Amino acid sequence: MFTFIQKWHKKIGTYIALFVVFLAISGIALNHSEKLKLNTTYIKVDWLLNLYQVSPKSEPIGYLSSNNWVIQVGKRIYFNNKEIINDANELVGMVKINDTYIIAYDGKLMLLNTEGEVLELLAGAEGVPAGMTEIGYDEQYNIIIKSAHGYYRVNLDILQWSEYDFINANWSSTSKITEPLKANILEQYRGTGLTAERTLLDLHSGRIFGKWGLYFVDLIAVLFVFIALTGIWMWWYKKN
Amino acid sequence: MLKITTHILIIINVLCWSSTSFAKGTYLEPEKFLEQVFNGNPPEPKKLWIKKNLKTEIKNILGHDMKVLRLRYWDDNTKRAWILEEIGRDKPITVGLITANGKILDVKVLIFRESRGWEVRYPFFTDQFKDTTLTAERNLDQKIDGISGATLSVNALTKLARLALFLDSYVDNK
Repeated sequence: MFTFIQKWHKKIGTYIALFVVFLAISGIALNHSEKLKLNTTYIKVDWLLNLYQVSPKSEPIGYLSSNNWVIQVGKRIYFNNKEIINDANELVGMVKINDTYIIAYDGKLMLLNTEGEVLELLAGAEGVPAGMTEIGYDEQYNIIIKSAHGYYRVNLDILQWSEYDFINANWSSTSKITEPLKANILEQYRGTGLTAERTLLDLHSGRIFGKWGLYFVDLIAVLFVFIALTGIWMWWYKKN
Repeated sequence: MLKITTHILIIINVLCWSSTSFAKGTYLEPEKFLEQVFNGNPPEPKKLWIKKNLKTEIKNILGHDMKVLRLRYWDDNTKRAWILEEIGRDKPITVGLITANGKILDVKVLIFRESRGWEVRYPFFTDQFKDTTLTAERNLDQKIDGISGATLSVNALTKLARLALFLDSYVDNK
């Protein structure tokens, strides 16, 4: 019995040694992912990106104003080819008033200068109405917002919101994005879609290879238990 | 034995699920926070431009540049309210801070978007900021006790408290 257990203890121990080393190193790395910057390092390997299906679920949507684009891809919003928002649900549109671009999304207004720098972000606390559906401007170049509860004329300088039943406006509407810009944005989207942390975590758990990868790691874990128990048993057996 | 183990696993699973499901979310709408602070009548917001010198000071406090060039704050001549954001681990935490005479009167976590570290919302933590002031080195004059497992959120709130006090003194001396 002892010889049988010893033989299998040695065999299994040799086979799983590499996994022990990998799981230990990856575990330590995951515990210190911020310091190792794993959560801000992005995977650029094509087959891995394809494996994770890192590509937008829907076509990019773009609004053009004074030769500048605002484009939504998935949850990200780009001003021309610069990512400015990474957790957006719905881009409503963009207008340019004087030297300021006003982007409406998710009950918020983001103000950019002509260089694409964020001037400020306005939300409910600053009076932005809930349920924005459209943004536009009237003949006097006032910003007009259509929301779930009515129409608003906005003075962003003093944050004055005047409510109306109806206001006619030039509403921001989608435009066909130029092919080079679209390709550039999609390349950027894929390039920042998968972190090293996520990949390492999925390798550590086996999830990267689907449910069979999980079962495989489970099997390895069971073998770890076998090695530990047989090791203790053999020590105890020899001692007695 | 198997039955008992299954029950224990189900209980652990439910507890884990419920703790994370209550963790994220909007605890207090920013506009409601302002109504509470100013007894239902918040003043018009004021603008603060983040000029070059201010930008450098803010970078020293946050450890990175502020993403906006302009901030709004609410001031009724007795106290100021600030709604600021800082990333804990991956996502921004929206915090409401009230300052007056170089002191913090109150701190409230308004929106928490991360899956860990949400314990910073509780008064046992946020009450530590009350009456803190800023030292000459732009640190808080009182020690803020951390929360195990919420270090990054604690750091984010501490930075925002320092920032609010700094901006408060900047507006005072403008």
